[in-house]
Amino acid sequence: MITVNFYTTLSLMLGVKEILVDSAAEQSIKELLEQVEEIVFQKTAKRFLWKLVEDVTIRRGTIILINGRNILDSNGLNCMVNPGDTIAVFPPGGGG
Amino acid sequence: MNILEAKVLRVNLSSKSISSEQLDSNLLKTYFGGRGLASKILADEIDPKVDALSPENKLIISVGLLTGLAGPTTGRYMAITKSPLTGCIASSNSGGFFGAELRKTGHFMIIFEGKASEPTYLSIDDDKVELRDASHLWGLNVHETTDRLLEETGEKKAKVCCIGPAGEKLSKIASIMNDKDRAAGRSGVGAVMGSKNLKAIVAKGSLSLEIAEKEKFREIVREKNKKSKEDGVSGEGLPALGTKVLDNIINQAGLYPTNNFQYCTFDGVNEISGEALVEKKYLVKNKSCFSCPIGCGRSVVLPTGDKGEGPEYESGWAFGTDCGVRDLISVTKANFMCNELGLDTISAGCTIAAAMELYEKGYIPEEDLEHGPKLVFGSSEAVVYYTQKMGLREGKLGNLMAEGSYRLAEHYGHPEYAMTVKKQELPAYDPRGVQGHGLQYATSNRGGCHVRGYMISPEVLGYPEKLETQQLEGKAQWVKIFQDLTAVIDSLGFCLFSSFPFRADDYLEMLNAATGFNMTTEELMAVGERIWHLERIFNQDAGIKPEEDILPQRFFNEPIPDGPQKGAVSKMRELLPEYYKLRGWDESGYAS
Repeated sequence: MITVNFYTTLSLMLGVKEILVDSAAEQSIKELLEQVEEIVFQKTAKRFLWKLVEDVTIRRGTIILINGRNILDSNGLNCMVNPGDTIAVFPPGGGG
Repeated sequence: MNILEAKVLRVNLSSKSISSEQLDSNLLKTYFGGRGLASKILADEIDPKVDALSPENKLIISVGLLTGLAGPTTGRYMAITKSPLTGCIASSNSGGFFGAELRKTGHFMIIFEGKASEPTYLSIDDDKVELRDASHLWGLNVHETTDRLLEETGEKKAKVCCIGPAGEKLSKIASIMNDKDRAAGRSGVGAVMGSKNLKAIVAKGSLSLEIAEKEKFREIVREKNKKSKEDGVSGEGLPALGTKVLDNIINQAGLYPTNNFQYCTFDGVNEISGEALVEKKYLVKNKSCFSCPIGCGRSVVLPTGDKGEGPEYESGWAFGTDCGVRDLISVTKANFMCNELGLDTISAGCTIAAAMELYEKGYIPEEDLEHGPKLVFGSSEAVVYYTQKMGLREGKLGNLMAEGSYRLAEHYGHPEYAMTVKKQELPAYDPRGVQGHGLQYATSNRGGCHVRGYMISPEVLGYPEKLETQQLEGKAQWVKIFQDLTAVIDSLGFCLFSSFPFRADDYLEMLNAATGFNMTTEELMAVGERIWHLERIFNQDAGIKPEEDILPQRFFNEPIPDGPQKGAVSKMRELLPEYYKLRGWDESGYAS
């Protein structure tokens, strides 16, 4: 099982904080998020991926963590995700 | 009035004399306004070794060079003085509407000297400037002071800047407040104002500001406002959740200082996060400062009926996570109390957190609580109770806490439990997990501070690009660039949050159109570097040594115990030599 958590304006927009994905195989974070988007769309009729990703690039300020590690610090959207992983998804946020 | 007319009010509170001077306009090109120019004047006019609470210190209230124009976020002003908390230069920044109103009176800066013989306030109505008795206001909270002044001056549209009881009682963590809930929070600037028996400034201005290229400026601002609205942070994150958009971001990144920086993740985050403020329906609406397209301010009403502005991320963290408290109502109440008392929320919350660790370790004797609630992590009762006590200097602990966490911890024989740099409390990001930010904390010219060079932007948020948190290479240069650009922003009068959508070139376009300076980006950044260097020299002359460019020992000796950054320690000492070299200082860190 992979846990995907939505936060900040994304969780407020979707009305969803957590999605559990039953996955046995390794896959890229991009593939996982596309799968999750379909699950969320079924629940909410809303899409979210366009807010985070443009073509194959992560939008500036989007934060996607795999077990607390930012995917931009390694292979970006090609980072691999395994069963048991926890994903945290944030649209841009900042402050002081 | 042209914005390059740098008219300064000099107010001698001892002799009650008020005079108006014109500054050399060349100084505007070398230091801009706000933080830069006021720091230059302070450095020229006082002995840096002066006692910060003596009449020999000066308090300068200064707007930025572009403050008062209809630019994106051009409403900021600064309080510049020598800090009683740190002994360094204090430059505390605030938003709201007071700064713009002051500018419209035709005054760019007010220099307060000496000390009034009794409580006093300054009234400015364009060029009609008077010192008036404030004895009837002394002891009043910030909101009541503001309401009374607006009523008695009959000027409902005037703007008020004042201190609360904390500043009157010379708390070293007292703030200067304006527009009721906006704070020039850090470094005890409120105590300096209180030491001069200066209760408030009331400003009402009617002048319009003339600039070099009106149409061009308007066009550029239109484009910049659009840029701000389209940016993810300034256009969506901040308006929707305020700065508390950061709670879960920082917690998930494993950088969320918990229980006085003993841990870096908090399992109570969902009770006190920015999302919780919305979901619990405490947030009524967002609020904007002068000419601001962002609107990050929070207008909040609690189920208890208490209402006000806040909490910000830092305030919510300081009374919440740092004290282990997961009760959003108490956290918000403590924030509101600080606004009324005129206390810095970061320093106040962190001082309580330090007291909690000291108490739990057995260093604060039971009798010192004087029947107050136990200072244990997680006690929402304690954060509310001791905030009140420290704001009024009541009781033994209230009196000690009013001195800030370093002096509190030192009194009990354990200064190592104060999470401070140069005696100013550290804000809401653990430096062990972000190496560049740790260097920034240690080298900030005003002591522990995140906004002097917000390295969280690249290291965590990915603005303008993502840097790996534990990477050391290149970090010293990034810190310098952020510090220099922030000095520029503070001197032009923009809000720091404009730096999410904007780069140096964006500020340059607006500056050149407004002033006709025709500067380059290099010249712009050189102003920032110059300001930073001047502040460093002031601090050196005040007796601050490079050895104080250091973090508390916890960050070197105690690896992060939890979360995704588990095992990390600060390596900022390894970055210092390169940083000093980039600054042009000697190997020991001395500037000349």
